Amino acid sequence: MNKRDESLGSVEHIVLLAVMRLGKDAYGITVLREIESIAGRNLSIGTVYATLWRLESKGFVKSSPGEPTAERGGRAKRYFRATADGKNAVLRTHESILKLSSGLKGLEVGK
Amino acid sequence: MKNLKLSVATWILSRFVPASSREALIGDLTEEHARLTRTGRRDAPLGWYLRHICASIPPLAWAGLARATWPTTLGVALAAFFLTVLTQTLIQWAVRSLPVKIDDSVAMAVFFPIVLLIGYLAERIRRRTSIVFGALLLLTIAAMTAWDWNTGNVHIQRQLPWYFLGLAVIFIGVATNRRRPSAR
Repeated sequence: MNKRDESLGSVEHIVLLAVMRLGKDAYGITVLREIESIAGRNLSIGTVYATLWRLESKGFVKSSPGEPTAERGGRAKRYFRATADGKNAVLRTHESILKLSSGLKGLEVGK
Repeated sequence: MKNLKLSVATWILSRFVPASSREALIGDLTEEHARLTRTGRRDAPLGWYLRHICASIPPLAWAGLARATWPTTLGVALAAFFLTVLTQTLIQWAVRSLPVKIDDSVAMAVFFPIVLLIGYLAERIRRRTSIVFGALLLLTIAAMTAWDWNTGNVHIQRQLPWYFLGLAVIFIGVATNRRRPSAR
């Protein structure tokens, strides 16, 4: 993985955080709902999936098939969970944001 | 979900989703549509569904392009094709440089196995490449035959082995793929 692949884009960052918040219940539509309700961002389901595939190709999330349900028309879910590399990538992104924003008036976290 | 608009929109969207994720993505849309229909909250479920399908096509199409493997396959096949042209040029030059005249069939006997080897190596580098490479050879020879036909100077007996060569390269690709344990 090269340096560029190790970094997180802003949508990747949000989607990965939503996956981490949801834990075992993270799949496409729950990730979308979480982002809408917590972050107030309106993404399309296609954007969420395209981002999840990109995160999976970077090794930041892993997916596994779930159970089909009647309300889904008998279609199975695909669950996503953050890997250790994914969690490290979130930490690195947070660290760099904190470093960049430190000392900037009105942007210090918790103030 | 029996609405015709939903069925058509879902079918269009599914063209942009890889088979491995199609079931999950369409299932997610169906689940949310069912939930919105049940709760009756937010916008009309049909509007939500169609809006998400329209907004999903550009990112999914872009992701599909980023994931595509055909540019690499075409690149390797084109490299094999140009290597073949270079090999033929070198063999023709070598034949002309010899003090004795050599029959075309002897040059072909040297050249054809080299092309088959190039096809095999291209297939080893990237799956299905030799099928594209063989198709390029067939297209080239078909174009040459068509050109000769227009000028009234057809040498079909000289061009026929080239058609077999193109088919043999494709056969090598198919046979190599079948022998691979991971072939799907």
